[in-house]
Amino acid sequence: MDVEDRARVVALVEGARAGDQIAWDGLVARYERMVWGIARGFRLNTAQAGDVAGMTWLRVVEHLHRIAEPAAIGSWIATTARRECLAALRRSGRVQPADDVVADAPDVDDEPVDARLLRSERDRALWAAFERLGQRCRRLLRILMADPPPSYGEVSAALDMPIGSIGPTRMRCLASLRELVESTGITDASGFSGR
Amino acid sequence: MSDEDVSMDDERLLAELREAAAAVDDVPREVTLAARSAIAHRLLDARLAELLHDSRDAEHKEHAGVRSLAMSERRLAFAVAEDLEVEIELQPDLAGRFRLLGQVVAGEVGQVVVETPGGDSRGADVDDAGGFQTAELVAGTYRLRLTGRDAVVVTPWFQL
Repeated sequence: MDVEDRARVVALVEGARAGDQIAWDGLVARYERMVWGIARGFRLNTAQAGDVAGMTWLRVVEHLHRIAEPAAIGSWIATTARRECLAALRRSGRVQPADDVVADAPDVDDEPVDARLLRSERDRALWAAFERLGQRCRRLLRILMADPPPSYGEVSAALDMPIGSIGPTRMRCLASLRELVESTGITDASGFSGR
Repeated sequence: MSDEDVSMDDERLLAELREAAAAVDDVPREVTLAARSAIAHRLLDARLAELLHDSRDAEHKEHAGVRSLAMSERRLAFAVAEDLEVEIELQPDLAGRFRLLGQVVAGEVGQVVVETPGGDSRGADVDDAGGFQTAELVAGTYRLRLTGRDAVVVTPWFQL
């Protein structure tokens, strides 16, 4: 996060603390896709992901005044979202309560996204390939798809993953994704085939 | 994010994925609206109680790997330092709703209000023994607002 970005986040937190709706909306706009991506990365369905998001933002408001480092609120939000996801998974029986190991099997409640919303054949191939990735890659890439992209600190908090391993894992996962897309032989309009 | 190994191809692929996610799996509007409205519930002058105990968490630990046939009623305990402590028990009925039975364990509470993030609230009188209760609550997210002599305390949100 660069200096300007950092200052922007701190200003949003301070505004929110003072009850400024616009500052709060700015905080939501900045991090809501990250929260959604964390929940969807854990394969929660849209109802569950909505609950996770709802509770996460309520927690942020509860703790606004206590967050030690306003600039690091993104990591705090990511940690909170993760906790809510694990709680949701425990309630739905997909986690062994003792060790937080999350079952890999797709949830029966997991609705497929409407891929018809993707305009090109390549985008559909890309998304289909993404959904075939293993759990680790799917979770990581789904969070990285957030807009704005999360910092590695935020990713680390969301996935309980050492920061140093994020870069290499990201590279490996994108390489796997590329291979899967290539194997479908689908190219984009300019003939570029997901190399 | 400083990653020397990041290649343009990787960045481009990620950008494509990002666009795809925005097209097929973006944050639903109602989720955004709920998030924005959360600020309405900030504490102002109220103090936030601490969740001391949630029997559901304890049960999850005890029954690790084993699905319980009969879960006992859920109990929650909240406190603000030594000043105030409240326990509640949530009794499910056959229709999937809950009756909330509460007890002030320490401190003085004159009134209890059960609040939802949607802005609904329901009052409960506190009897001489510090007991209070509410009628059927549907599954959802709630917190209690406890008014004492000169202070207001809210519990953290909890989900039924």
